[in-house]
Amino acid sequence: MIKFFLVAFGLPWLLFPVMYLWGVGAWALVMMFAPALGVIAQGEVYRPELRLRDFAAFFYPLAWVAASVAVTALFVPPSGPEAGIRYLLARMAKVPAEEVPRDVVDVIITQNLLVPLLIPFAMLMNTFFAFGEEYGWRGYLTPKLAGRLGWVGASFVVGALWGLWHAPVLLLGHNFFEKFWWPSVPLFMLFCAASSPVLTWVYLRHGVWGAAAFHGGINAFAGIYFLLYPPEPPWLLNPAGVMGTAGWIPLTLYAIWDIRRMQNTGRINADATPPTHHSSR
Amino acid sequence: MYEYWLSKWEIFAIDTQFLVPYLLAPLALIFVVIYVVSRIYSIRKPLTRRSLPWLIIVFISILLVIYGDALMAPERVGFAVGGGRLVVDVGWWGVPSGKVYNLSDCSLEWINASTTGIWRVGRGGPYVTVGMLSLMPQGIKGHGMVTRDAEWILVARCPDATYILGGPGLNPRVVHD
Repeated sequence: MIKFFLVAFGLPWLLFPVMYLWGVGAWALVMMFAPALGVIAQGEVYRPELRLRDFAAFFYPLAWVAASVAVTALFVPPSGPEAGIRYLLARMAKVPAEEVPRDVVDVIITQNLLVPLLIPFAMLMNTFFAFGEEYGWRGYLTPKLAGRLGWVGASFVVGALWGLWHAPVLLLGHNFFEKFWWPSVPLFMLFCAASSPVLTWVYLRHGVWGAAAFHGGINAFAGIYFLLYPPEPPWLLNPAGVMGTAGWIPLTLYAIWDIRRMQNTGRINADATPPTHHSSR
Repeated sequence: MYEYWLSKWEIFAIDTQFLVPYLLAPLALIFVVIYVVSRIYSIRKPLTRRSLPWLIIVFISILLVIYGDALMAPERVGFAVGGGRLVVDVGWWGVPSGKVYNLSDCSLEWINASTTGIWRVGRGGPYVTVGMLSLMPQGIKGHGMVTRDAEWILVARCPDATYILGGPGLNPRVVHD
């Protein structure tokens, strides 16, 4: 497993100075393939089955967004889309929120309202790039660790490692808007650990491509949260922050219950043999 | 008299100069994707006669996304001010072309670029911003073009429009030159 970790964690840090100098941009997409490259380097390549119906998992994260919004609404009343978008634009341009012109906010809101038209494109792109990660985290590492820790235990450990893996981009301001803000790393480790059992559950039901579609759905739909809540403070009112993590809790509890049920009924093997979603080469 | 003109090909060259670092990422991404997919799905020769045209199409699409805007630019964009006249000849992103005003018909205001932020509904390329611009916190809105290295920004309130203009070396003295 050592080569897997060396490549999966090493490549993002090799890209770190490049992303620091030139911006994260498409380099983050290159980074998303590091776990898949790690599996290749480890010499344990497998061939996940590609089935159209597994792409339905792309829409499951809408339940997480709804849960996150519902949890947040217990504490803060939702505001309209203007406040969130104004806040995000202001953070990007490093100006006070009230200085962002109304015209610019209106254009961005209109763009957001048109987003559903892009769903087929977003589904393909987000799923494909998330595949680079899921091939390593869910398709390789989780089953490896599940043999020792069980599927639920492995999910939490892989989730924490998966969150830590994001450190290079988190330190460059990804998700939490602040460069070199170290609490972003433990916060995102918590987020990933909380979501990981759900991803494992999706993997066990829909295979690696299903997990990739689900992961792609998280990336695609997380922004809906900002249409209701400006991320102020970013560690709290943020789909990647405390409220987003809290949003996973009901889904994670269900996933843990169902994974255990599947284990007890023999539908998945406790010694880490996943169902028939991929064939070894 | 101050004049600043930028040809379509200069915009193209500036884009290239600024975007080369950003082009490396998509190229690296294409390489990594081809490598990973070909290894996982046992595609022995990923670059075959069938796949190569698709790769070229993807590459050209990326170039079109990056340069499409510059390709649609007029042959020459710019403005001139001084000698009693203001000429605005942009014709891009809603900024008019072929407009000539007597400076006496326009009220002029000079804003130091370091004291303002520009918001745009239009083009925000690496060097030149063109379109409907808003200067904040001054709260001035108008059509125009401003380059990144402009030290002074001219706000010209003319009878039929307000223009926001900035270019290298533009300063309040040019009106009197």
